[in-house]
Amino acid sequence: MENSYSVLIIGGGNAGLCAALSAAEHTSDILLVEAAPKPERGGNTKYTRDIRYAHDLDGYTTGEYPDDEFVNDVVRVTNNNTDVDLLKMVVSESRNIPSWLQNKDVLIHRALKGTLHLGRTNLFMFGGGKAMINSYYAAAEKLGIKIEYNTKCTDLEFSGNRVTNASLNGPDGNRTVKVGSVVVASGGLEANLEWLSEYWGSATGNFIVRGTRYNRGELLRVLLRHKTKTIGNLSQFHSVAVDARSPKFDGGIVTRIDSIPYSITVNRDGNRFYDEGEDLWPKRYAIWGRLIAEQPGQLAFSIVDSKAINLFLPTVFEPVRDDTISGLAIKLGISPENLSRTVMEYNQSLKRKCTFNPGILDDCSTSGLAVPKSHWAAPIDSPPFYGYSFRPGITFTYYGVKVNSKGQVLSDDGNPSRNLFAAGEIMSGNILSEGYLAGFGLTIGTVFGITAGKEAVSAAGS
Amino acid sequence: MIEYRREFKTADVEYVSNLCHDCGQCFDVCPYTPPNEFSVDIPKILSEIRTETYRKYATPRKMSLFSGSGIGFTLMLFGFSFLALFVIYLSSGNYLRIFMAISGPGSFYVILSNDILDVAGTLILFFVVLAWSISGKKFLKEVGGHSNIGLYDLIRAFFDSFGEKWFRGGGAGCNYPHRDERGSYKKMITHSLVLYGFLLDFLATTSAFVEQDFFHVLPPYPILSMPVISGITGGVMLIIGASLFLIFDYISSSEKDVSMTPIDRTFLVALLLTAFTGLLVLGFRNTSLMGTLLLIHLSMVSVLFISAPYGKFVHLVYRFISIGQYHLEKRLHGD
Repeated sequence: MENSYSVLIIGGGNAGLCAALSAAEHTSDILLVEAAPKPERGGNTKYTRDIRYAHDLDGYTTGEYPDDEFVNDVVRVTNNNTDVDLLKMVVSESRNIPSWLQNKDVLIHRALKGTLHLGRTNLFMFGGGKAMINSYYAAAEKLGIKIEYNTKCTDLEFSGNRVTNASLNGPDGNRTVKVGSVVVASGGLEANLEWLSEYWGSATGNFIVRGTRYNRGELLRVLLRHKTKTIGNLSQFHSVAVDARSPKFDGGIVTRIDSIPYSITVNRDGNRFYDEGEDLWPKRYAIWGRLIAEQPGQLAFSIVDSKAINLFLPTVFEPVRDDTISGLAIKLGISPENLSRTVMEYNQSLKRKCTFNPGILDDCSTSGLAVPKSHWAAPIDSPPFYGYSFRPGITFTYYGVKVNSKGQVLSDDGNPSRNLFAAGEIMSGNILSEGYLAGFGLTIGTVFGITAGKEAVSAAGS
Repeated sequence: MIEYRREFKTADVEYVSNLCHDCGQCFDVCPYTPPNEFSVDIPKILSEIRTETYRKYATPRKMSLFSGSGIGFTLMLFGFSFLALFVIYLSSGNYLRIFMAISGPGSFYVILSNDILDVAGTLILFFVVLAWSISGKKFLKEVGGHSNIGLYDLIRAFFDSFGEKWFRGGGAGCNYPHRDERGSYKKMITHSLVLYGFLLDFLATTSAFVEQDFFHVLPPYPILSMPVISGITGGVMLIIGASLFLIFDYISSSEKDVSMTPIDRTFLVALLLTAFTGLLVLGFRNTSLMGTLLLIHLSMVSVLFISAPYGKFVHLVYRFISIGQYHLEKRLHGD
């Protein structure tokens, strides 16, 4: 095994592969280490399907998406809490994404109609994120990039503001390699529930990690030890309501349940705790993971009747079903008296006359309840009744390292490292510090991956 | 297709299974295949359901009991056909002709009379078309419900089928024979060889029938004639295509790959032997082996067709209907 590489890439998801393929345009002396075994490679990229990018009229989308609009969208979802220079760079570079993908044999769908309203702003990879990452790996192998699976980087050695060596732990044990430069693209820390429990306490035992079990944030810990400037903190993550029966890891996108706006959602005690109809679901689903995380036992239950069961996407697990509310409560493990009372109070609070319409913010609301339901408040009165149990499902974390526009990691004093770069989820919080914008994680990972890969080659030589 | 439905009936699953060309791409790009906890193996499930539909909609239904592995059934059919042809041969008198070299116009009919071949061939063909039509109608009723596949949908299905459209994996190719290799057109090429090889052989038979019954030119035909040229080309294509399928099946039969079902293999072997014996008859048509080879070849042909409503051959019926149904649904949804 060699013990010296021009460029070391840590992480085998979208950002890592983009960095490796970009670096490979200038050198072939590249090692990519991926913590997962080969069948589970690719981080959370395998659960993605679309990329947001700025564009004029093209064949992949239904209309143009100007830079300004893209920038404004990010500014809005982050509540103006973004590094505008980095954001503008990502947005303008994102225009090159389709041709980059095509060069790597990633197929792109022709313009799609009716896909989550993303048809104008996002392109969809043919076969989804796993097809894309498979194409990237195939391209990397063809270019002679060395790939080691089941391999982690456990430490980095510095000399001044340069990384000189990396400690690797792989199937053949530990070894140290000399490196010209390093790109850290190791993802977020959402699968490291032990670390998250430093903030969340024992609640993390009830969290479900939607993506890969290998995003453990270990490189972030390494960088923290070496006095790197960080952004965000342990309390922050993106999470949604997922079926409580979901696998602890890797349930992916299918375990999310979209019943909430057409239901009442109660906690373990049978009490409602938040306005289920506050806004259109695409604007609200991402707050529910956190809401549930704050409930006793990190559990919540969504109750719908037979009128509402077909209003949302079918679920991967069958709902619990009963002809009475108290029967349903017993099956779900909630107090039947409390749930019956909550349903009764809710039904009595409904407006007599309103026009139920799932497509818009309709005028069906409750009145006089401590926790209101502002829209789509229809009576729960037509058996059979259905119940879903929820847990918080973490998608990704925001905690990461501060970078500049070359992707260079900054140290505590604000100076950039000469040859240490970051790309992907470990730095996306620089731009997406809070909130969510569909397909934008891949945009940041792709642009910063390509940039960091290129810069890493020139930094390795100097 | 899936995006047009919220609930799935059994018939919907049967429809999707038969629409599936077993391209293998979904296995490679789905995040839920093993080792994921959901451990979904779509190609394997669809393959099982496809085989199940062939049994469920067989005409007559009882005959489907024979198609377990298909091999016993096929061997029995072969024995039966050979015996029947041999009895017909014997019944016409001279017991030793089969061991003699015969040549010149009508030499085949010295072994078996033209009339008997015409009648038997027509009856078998009629039986196949009838059984396929009834099975297809039963399938369509379950799958299509009250909707009506129109001429437009059938034309689209025709071009999809003969253009081998769905073996292209939407441009990415099929992950074949190994599921984890890059997409390629190997499966499309292999299937095309079998499909067009078969059609050329069918053309050979039909053109021979036309030459003899309408122009009164009796076989054997010269090398440079429609029946012989299309017969040789088709036969060679069939042999290559069917062998490739079997070779790919053999090298892909590791744990992570989908292997063929037994009825797939039986059908391919039957096709292979039919084509091979056909070429043997051509090659030895002026020798004393001709009589025996002709009986064997014609027995293979009848095996292929009599088993057509029960073995893998029937896939073309359900697949064609499913593609038609797909185009209907696409049209109704304005896509």
